[in-house]
Amino acid sequence: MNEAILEACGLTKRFRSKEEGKRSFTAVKKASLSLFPGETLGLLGESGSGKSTLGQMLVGLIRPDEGTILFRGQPLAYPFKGAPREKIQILFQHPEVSFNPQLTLRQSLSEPFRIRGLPLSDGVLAECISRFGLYPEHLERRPGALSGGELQRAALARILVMEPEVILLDEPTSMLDVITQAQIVDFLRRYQEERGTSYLFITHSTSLARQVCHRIVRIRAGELQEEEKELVP
Amino acid sequence: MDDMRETLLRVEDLSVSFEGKNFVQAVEHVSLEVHSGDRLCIIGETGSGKSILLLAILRLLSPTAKVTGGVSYRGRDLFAMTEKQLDAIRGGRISYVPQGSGNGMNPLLKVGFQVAEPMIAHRGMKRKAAEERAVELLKRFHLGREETIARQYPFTYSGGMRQRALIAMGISAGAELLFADEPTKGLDETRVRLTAEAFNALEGQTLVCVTHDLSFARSVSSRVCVMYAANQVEEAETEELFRNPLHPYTRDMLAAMPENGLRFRPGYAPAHNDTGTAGCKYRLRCGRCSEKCRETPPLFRIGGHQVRCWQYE
Repeated sequence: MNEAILEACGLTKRFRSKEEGKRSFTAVKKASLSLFPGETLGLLGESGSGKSTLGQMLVGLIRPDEGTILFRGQPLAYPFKGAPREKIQILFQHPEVSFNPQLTLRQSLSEPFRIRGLPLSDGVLAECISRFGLYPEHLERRPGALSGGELQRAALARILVMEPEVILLDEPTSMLDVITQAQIVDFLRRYQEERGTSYLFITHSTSLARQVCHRIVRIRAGELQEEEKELVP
Repeated sequence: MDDMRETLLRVEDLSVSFEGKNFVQAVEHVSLEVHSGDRLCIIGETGSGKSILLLAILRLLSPTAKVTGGVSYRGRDLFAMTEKQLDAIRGGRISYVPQGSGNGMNPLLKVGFQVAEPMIAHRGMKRKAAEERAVELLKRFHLGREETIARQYPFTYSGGMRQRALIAMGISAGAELLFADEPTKGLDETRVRLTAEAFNALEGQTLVCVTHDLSFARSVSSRVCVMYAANQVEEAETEELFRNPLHPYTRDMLAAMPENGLRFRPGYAPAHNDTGTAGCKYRLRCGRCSEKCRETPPLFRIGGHQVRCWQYE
């Protein structure tokens, strides 16, 4: 049996209520799951079910109150440092707020190259975005002058520079039109076949999850349910 | 087909561009007619010009936008009106539900008051009566505990609740024409269904709704207009369009729906400042293009469809 690349063991997250006298709210209750190399695991739930909170704990964006996270079998401490921080990436639901509004696309896309110490040139940047149907003239624009579909493709181009092993896809296409959605899904599928990248795919759309995921777990009111085998072909 | 119903809104050859360093052609030669009782959905991908079209009709675009063409409401030229004349129509006669449930409300005012405000401003109602009516409206959209939450601020609402409260605000003054921009963006399936129910429960109101959610469009509209790269490419009655799409873009869009297998044709829409792609904007992606497609096709009438494609010449 393959070893899991990312594992959650009994993750719990509580949010304290701002109003005094009110009890805290448990967003995720003792969630355990394993993500294996090269697979797409669907996390299906309605808004408010805790799916994003669970996802954000798994990629180190928020600190769990209880439980541990293992990356390649090693426990991770919050905040993540070193390899896990680079190799676990996230594609957010709202492309329009995934970029610093004051920076041009060129500046935003240069960042991962700098972090990894990779050579940077106009040619490299143009190649980085051309496979997503973006043109060099897009590089000089700020996020406000790009459409949601263009920004989401740019966001994907940006995280792939890090050559991630795990990508958290948090409703990556719910703000996009159907053709852009199909293109992004197809690109991710081919990239996975080539690189063996693992995806945790958060969505509220059963029909989309059914098309995209190898396994699907549903989350209800912060609790993970049994794996839904009948949903996957 | 002769339509005996009253024409509320007529959009003629409307084009919008943004001049300057980054030239953008946002809307190109769009003509629409909206009759009383119509439920029109404008669908298309992000950046296709749907939202700009709504804003241009309502004259809500910034002065940097260059708008040509004409818009009339009940025969009155909206583009020739003074701001004051326009204010009597916007809000009272035509209301607009903006995109994004997050920023459509004033965070400093209670939701009940915000839903009541159009009735105070446009119908001369007293505040107390208007706020009572606001609670009734919130009840129609099943927000739950309506008396209590009407006295709360928008931040205490979830995205789905805010979205439905915004629609309640949009219809509260009894405007006969309701514009809604992406009312379901980012909502989950249950909330999309509740929003569709809310729209379908509207009585006597005419709806013009911009959306990229095809299933939602199908569930609320009677007619659909498809936009691609600033152009109107097809228009037909909803069921007819979904059963028998004519334009290659409409066909490709339906094939890309998850329930149809996420099939798609490679390629992307041309850049907004791409004036080099003369002729049909879809020709570079289309599987059936010919030499003829280097010229811009007009809208052809085929059965109940209007379609901008040379195949139907």
